[in-house]
Amino acid sequence: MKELNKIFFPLLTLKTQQKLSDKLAPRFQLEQGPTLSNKFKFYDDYDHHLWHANLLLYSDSKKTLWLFNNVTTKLEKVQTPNKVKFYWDLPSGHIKDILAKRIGFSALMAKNQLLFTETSFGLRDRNDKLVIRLKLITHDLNGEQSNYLMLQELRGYEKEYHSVLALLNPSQKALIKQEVLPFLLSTLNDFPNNVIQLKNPTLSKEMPTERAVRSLAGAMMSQAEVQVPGLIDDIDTERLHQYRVHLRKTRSLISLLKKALPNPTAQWLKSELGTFSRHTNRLRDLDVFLLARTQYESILPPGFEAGISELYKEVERQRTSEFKKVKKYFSSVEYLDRSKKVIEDINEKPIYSNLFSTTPIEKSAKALMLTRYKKMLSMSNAINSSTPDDEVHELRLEFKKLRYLIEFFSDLLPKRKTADIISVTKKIQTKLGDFNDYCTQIEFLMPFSDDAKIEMSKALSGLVAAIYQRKIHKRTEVESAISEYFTNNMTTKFELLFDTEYQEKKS
Amino acid sequence: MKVIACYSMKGGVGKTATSVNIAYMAAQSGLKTLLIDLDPQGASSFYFRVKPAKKQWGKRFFQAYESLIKNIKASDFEGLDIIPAQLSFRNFDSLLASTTKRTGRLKRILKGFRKEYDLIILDCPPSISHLSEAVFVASDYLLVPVIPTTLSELTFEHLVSFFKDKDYSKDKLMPFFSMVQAQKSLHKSTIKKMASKYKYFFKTVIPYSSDIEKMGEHKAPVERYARTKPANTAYKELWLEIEAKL
Repeated sequence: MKELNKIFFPLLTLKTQQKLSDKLAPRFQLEQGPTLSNKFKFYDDYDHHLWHANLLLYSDSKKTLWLFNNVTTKLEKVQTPNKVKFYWDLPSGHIKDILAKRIGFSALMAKNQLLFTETSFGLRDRNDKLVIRLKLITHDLNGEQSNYLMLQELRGYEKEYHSVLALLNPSQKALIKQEVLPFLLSTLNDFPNNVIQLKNPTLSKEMPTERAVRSLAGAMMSQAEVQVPGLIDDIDTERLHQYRVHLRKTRSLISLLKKALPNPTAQWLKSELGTFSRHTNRLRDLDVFLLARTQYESILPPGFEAGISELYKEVERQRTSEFKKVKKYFSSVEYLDRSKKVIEDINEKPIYSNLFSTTPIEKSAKALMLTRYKKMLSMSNAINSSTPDDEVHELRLEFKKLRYLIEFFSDLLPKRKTADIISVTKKIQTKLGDFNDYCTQIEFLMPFSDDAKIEMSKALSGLVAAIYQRKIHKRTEVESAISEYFTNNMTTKFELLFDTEYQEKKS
Repeated sequence: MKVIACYSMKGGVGKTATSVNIAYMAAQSGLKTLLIDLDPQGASSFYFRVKPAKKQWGKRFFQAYESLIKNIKASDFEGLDIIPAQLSFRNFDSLLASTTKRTGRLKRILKGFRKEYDLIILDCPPSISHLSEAVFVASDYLLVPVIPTTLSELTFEHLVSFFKDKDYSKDKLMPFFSMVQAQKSLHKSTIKKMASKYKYFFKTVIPYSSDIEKMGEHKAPVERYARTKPANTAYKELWLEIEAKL
């Protein structure tokens, strides 16, 4: 059967409604139906990850959460009997899975409000037969109002539909296939307010190294600083985590390419960034432990619930206290002044104090990546089952630096070949990361031991023992992964990709 | 998709009123419904204010699904469409008499609607004819209004015999008492007798009601102007019984 036309067009003002009636009056009678109003609250995380993924999450007044995909125009819903702040507060299902993927540990925040009103009308002909349906739609987005009219063709009354359309003759119109609300949502171009996505600057291959380093470092410091208000308000644990990640990357970049900057500048920046980071170490450790509660509870057999519960109460108490210190620090004049100075220094004009600083960034970055790889190769040769854990951690840190380098300068590298290396590097980093987590967890838990708290101590001992076993098992996996990574094949890949002398000779 | 024909050999038993009100109830329940007015009188079309096509097309009715589609009109109510009757439908029997495989033709054509509609209701003219047979074959159910009088009892028995002779399943039959006047002892005794003999009569009875007669004035189903009245309540309950069987 033929699809019925549904046309949608903006009305400049509601006064146009009267003009519409006047235009239609000789041939048709306008009959008003019911009005439905709904208030929608839109949610996203601090960094607008859903918006950037073309998703809109909103609730209507009936305690239902809706997820609209602006690409597929698919609309799904989930009932939310309780308040939802994190993805795990949702019942199991597709929406929960999407949020887990897109926002992870970030909290959902109310961002925008839309008031949506729909009034139905019918047009009747001289025989009092309904021949067209109309809807007058008003939406108020954060105080800004827009009005639309929708004409819906009725089966068997195509002629009447076209004659009304000709009478109204809208200058802007759109034929729509879906319902009004999904169509409207797909048109919210200037929504939400103040969405910013801080990206790393685009580098050109010929850019002098110092300029490239300052641009990148400046961008990453901005991304770190954006997290501070959310960190102070304790919106979620992700603000602190993202702050630390960007700080770590900035520090890593400056350290790896320290020769690009004047020596005192590089040293001073590294020191300052290290100070900022150290103020947050303890809080992050506490957060990680709290986030993994379900996992830890599942490690121990039944009978340890009271002890685990006591342990968590103590950790929560310490978290509250530690957060107060961190909040005080980041709100302080000392931090504000020092972070401002760091950013100013990074963003100063390049001085080009040596040859390295003027070298094209592609050349210096590639050379550095190859050097780091060779260093790691040498370190890996020394790792066996008797190597102390610390040396494995050193190699883990080198992997992290290498990965950061590849990410910083991805614009300058061939995509497919780099993707291969990144994929393999990520896999081994996961194993090294897990191994590090186990070691860190044991170190974190040991100080909680308290002879006066028997149940808690029992649980603690059980946890440490269980994690220790996992650590041993993971260490074996890590050793295998290291030997699988550092093959002749991998070395050749790195040389072909990053050996600039070879590439120059070839060209 | 299901097809229900509202049928009786006798006229004036409430077929059209039933077709209109049941079609409306079905659409309100969320079933995408098509009411096909096969009676050249065109009463159900009239109740929905739908005029027939200007060009006569009765001859094309049984030719193809495409000729039916062109004549579908939306009613005033969401989810309910109508194919209005035409005077040329009076020739259906002679049309069908001249075609081969006539009894299955209507069924084949209506099958074409299965993607668009959940329910088709056929408002049938009062007769026993080639058209009626085509309807019996095409329908999943036959909704049979019966006024509880002696003559109606006889008419219903003729229908049951016809079904038996033709080997049509009596499970298709959905009889119910229509235009019942509770104060009449004949009605009461006939209802008791027939309900006992034919266990598959619906429990709901549709009362004789001026509210139903006023459909012509209002040109609308009873619920639109007499929602709280007994006639409307009865149609609602009748629909619920039908829906349970669907």
